[in-house]
Amino acid sequence: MISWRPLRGIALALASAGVLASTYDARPAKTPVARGATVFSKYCSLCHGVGGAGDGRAASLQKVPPANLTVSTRTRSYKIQIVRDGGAAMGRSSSMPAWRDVLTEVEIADVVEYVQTLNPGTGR
Amino acid sequence: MRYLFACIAIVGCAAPAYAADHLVSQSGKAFSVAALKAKVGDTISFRNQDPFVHNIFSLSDVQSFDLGTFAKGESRQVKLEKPGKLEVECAVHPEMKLVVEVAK
Repeated sequence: MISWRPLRGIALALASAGVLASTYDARPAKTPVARGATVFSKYCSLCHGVGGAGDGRAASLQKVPPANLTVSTRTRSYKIQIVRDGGAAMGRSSSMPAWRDVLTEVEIADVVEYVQTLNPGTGR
Repeated sequence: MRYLFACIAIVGCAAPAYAADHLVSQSGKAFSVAALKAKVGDTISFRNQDPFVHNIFSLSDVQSFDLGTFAKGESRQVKLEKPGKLEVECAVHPEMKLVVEVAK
């Protein structure tokens, strides 16, 4: 007669693994800076560069060079406004689009939080 | 009759090769076509049919350009200057891609 005891052990182990995996998936969301880094990589690095130095692959197409965010001392509220409303609304380059139709307010706040880390001496 | 054939031949040789304008719309965060075949001298008109801004640029070796960012209902046009393969993108929506094969 076949003993089902070992199989039951395996089934219990698999069930435990499943519970652990689901616990892992339910881990807390990334920090605002980490989420902002993802947004920056997708939308901003094209012009501002991967490291934010204003040397993105499309920087050469711009009449006004993209801002070097590693030396920017603009405040967080200024950056939120220019990301949301675009460069023209702030008297800056019109090449900087208004991102309010693309990014959510949370994404804008997150990306600015990340940009703040690019220059430790930045204005708060 | 011989003169008629001669005239037709002359007119045929002198007729310019008309450039075409290819209309590509931007709708639903996508170009209306993913690929396009065109010739040198042709133009592409990009029309924004989304309720938000789009942008058009190309960093291709063959021809690079930046048509800027433009709002709903607006259009931008570019003339194709050299043969080769062009990759056109939207800076606002990185998932948007268009490949243009430009023949002589």
